[in-house]
Amino acid sequence: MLLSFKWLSEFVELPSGLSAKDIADQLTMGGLEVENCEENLQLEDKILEVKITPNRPDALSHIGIARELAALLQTRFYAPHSTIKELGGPINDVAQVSVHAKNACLRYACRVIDGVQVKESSEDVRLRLSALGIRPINNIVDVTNLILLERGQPLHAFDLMTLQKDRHRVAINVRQAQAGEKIITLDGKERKLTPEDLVIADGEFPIALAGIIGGKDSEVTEQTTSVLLESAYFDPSTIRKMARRHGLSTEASYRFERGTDPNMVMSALDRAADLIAQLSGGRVRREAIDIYPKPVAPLEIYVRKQRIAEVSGLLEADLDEAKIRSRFLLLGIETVGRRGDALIFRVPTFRPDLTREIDLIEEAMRLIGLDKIPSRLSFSRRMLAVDHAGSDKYVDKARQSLVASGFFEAINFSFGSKHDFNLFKSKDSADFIQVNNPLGEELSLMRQSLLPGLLKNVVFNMRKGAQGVHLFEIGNVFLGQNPHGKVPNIELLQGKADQDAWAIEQSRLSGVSYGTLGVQSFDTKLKAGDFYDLKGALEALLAQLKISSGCISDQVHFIHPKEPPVFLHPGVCAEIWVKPKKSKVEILLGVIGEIHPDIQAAFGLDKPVYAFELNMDQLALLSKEDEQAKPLSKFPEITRDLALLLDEEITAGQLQMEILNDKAIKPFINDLRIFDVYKGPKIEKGKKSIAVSLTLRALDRTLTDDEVAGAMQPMIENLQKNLKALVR
Amino acid sequence: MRDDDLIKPSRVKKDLDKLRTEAECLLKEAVSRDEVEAVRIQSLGKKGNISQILKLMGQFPAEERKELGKLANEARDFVEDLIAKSFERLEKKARQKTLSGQIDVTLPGRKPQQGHKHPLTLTSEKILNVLQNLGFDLVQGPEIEHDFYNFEALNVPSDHPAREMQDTFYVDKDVVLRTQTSPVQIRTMLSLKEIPIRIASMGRVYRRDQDVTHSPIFHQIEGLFVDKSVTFSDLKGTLTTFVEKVFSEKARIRMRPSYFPFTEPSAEVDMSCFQCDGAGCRLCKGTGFIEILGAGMVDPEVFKASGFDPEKVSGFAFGIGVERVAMLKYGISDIRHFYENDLRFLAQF
Repeated sequence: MLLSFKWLSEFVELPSGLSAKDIADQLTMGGLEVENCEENLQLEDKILEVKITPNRPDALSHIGIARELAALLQTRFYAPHSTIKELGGPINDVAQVSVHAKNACLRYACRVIDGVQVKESSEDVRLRLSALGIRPINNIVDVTNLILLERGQPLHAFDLMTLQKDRHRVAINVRQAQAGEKIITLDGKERKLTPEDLVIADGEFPIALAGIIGGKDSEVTEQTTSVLLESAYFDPSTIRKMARRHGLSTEASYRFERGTDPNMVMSALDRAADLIAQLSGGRVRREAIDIYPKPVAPLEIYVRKQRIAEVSGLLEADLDEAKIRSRFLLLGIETVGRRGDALIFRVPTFRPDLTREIDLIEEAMRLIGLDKIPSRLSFSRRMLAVDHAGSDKYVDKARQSLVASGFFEAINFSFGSKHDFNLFKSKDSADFIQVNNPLGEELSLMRQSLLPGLLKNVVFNMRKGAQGVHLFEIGNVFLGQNPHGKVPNIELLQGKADQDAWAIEQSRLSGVSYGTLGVQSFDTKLKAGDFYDLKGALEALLAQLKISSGCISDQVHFIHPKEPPVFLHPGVCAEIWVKPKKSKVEILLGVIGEIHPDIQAAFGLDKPVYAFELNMDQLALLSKEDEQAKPLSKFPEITRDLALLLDEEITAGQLQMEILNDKAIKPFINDLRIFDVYKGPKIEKGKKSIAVSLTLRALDRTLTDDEVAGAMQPMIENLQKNLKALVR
Repeated sequence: MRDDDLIKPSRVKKDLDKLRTEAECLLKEAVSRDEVEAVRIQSLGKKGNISQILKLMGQFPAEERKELGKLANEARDFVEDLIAKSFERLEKKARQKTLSGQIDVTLPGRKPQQGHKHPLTLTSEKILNVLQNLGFDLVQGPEIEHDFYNFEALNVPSDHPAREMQDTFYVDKDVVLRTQTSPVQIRTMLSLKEIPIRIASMGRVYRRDQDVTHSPIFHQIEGLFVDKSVTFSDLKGTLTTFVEKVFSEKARIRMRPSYFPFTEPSAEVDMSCFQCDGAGCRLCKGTGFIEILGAGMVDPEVFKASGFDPEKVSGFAFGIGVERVAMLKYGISDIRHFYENDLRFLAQF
């Protein structure tokens, strides 16, 4: 809202010595934020731009702001008066009004001004309107806008002749539109109307969209000689819905939908009619039409002084009742009585935001000044030593681990395009949740995986010349509708606060790895990362979260899936299963692999990308905080290396399992490390060699060579029996 | 050696003198460990000269034996000492040699690959850490939200003009991408039913808005405290400490009355500009203050919708935009940098 400093000072006594800047600061600290204060040289005025919150329709005018200033500065407010000179015949000779839509139109008033001469307004008026953001039209419409800016009451002027046509008397009807009716509005658009629209009709046709915009046919033009001037109160919610439906927001609708003052309708009408007569040489007809069957009475609100203290934190004894009452009065809020501890206030109808005790308490605190309210830290000011972050520690740890492995954290939008997402979608997954009003097709579907976003980041960085891109992201995916969440159901919240969430949301941790690893130095060559580099980073993460127990993990299994995910290379992918201790079920934690070459091609990637995606909710359940430390052996360890010749299909995992579960060697194994895998001309076709290094020890004694040999031998025999493994 | 040659004690003495001088000469000139070792074997080895002489001692009468024995032992100690010193001298010389070379210390070091947390993560970690230390527990809620939790229960009925403050994405009738983290307040109050409640919620929120300072997706952190007799003073005290700990001990806050449908009274919270300390600069547009938070006392209607009696409990809530804080702190002018994930940008944090 733009305001003229000069105009404001007509309605409020401003203490001398206060500059426009001081006034602006007062308003800002009073809750009416002045965003700008600019000099207008032509008008020798200052124009203030004030941000008005939607609860304060009364402040959308000069008198509203002036009243506010009077209360903030504790000076006088000069309420404007309306006088009117009536000269013509009675209005009833030319117009009559009926209101059918009584709920949507609480009050409808009008006057007629005859003998007007429509022309351009004076330069003064035109400059003032322009400075306040309104385009000057002619001396009639400009007056309606001046009054709008002065008092906040929207008005509309019709050309009476166009309504009369061949009739003697115009019959105005305020009613719902009929299905199929149309109107061409002042902006030149033809609008189809529905029964939810409120219209002003002339007996047959709609002549205005009530409270929003007039019709083209009844526009005031230079040919106009008589004007029917409308002033009304429309139901805010009706206007708001209409304005939204027609995609139209006008100065009038902006005010009506926030709530105007039904008791200002007549005074604003008289003031405007009088001004029109003065500026256009017309005569105001006798009497006004004013349909106001159920006058709106001011509310009376009880306010307990003790309650002001309870909300604000001020001491009850420090509250100056007389001062609050006198400042309320400057806002038009009268004290009308007292009952017990409570004062009874009468709130003017221009303040629809004040309906409850708390609203008046807020008003009192605002006038006292929020800076006067003491500051108190009810809980220890000293920082608590206890770390409350427990519930979320695993997220921090996971993030920390990946950062330590050289990954950069990315944050992507949660919506994306059908084209990208479909590449990752498996047949049996739910349909994507769709945004009904997206900012564009490419931002229209809710993601089911973090990988499409991360891959786009890889492409972005690759095009900027990055040789290696290693990224991870933590965020939610949206896996379809929650059957328990069709409608809000607060009964379900007792156990868990999001049981009735509309969608199935899952927290994910995903990573991608492209190109070279490490940082180039003067004497080393960079190597491109592969599956095992990414797997290593992931294993480090699982170890940090205590999900895997380190090198000889018997809980985490990487298994080649029977049905590989569509977005991974079918030969280079694994599911990550975890079998928690004391649990019989294995839990699927996520997948890892090479992005499918088709997808790599679709994204325009020139090199393979390796990726993983983990279910963060499972990670939360599986991660452990405080693991018991294992005792260290006081006795020396013995290392035995073993190269085994195996059929090519036997996996390292199978071999490892076989050794770890071997009865003879199990009690002594401290560590198992695979240090070489060989396939090639030195061994027969269809075979491979795997070399393992076993670290053996006993906790209570030094192992002897004989003991070790005695355990190794049966193990080797078992490997031969079960895996057809031969020692090379 | 023949026996009769050695019988004479004078000869033995002479030999010992000779041995000492010889060893001394050889060791002085020795330039390698091998040469010193050769001397050791020659004089002190099992078959070495001094050992041989010592073996002969039995042949002498007691008196001479005593004297010769003493001389022989002295000679052995003397040579042993010389040998040790020679080894030391050679080792020192060898070490000296290694000191002569010099590397180019200006060549760059071999760096391990360093990852980086996202600046928004760093910012929210800082904020959450302060809140958690103030006793706020972290809670989460869904991002796709029922209109009821996102608006209705927060005192924003469907045709309320306040809805215009937040342009909303819809995925279904009455289902929105949450425009604020406040629905988590409602969910928590409805599920806990007990006071005190002191929670912080952090997460993504969505608004249909896109330009240099607005992103359709951004992050919000919100605090809620509900108990008996919580006052605006408590809100002020909490926010004062919060701003001091998140920004700087020197930071001051200023509260301006404002309007949010879910709080009454409501306030915009400004913080003294951390660049000019309130004097006025470009960052704060000359005002000395920067708008940083929205806050207020929980509106009675919100309590009613959340199953609490506003006459019996009271509380405050506040919200802060993570992007806004990060932009201020790091001097970032374009919000889109946060979602491009350009390595050159991320590597700076």
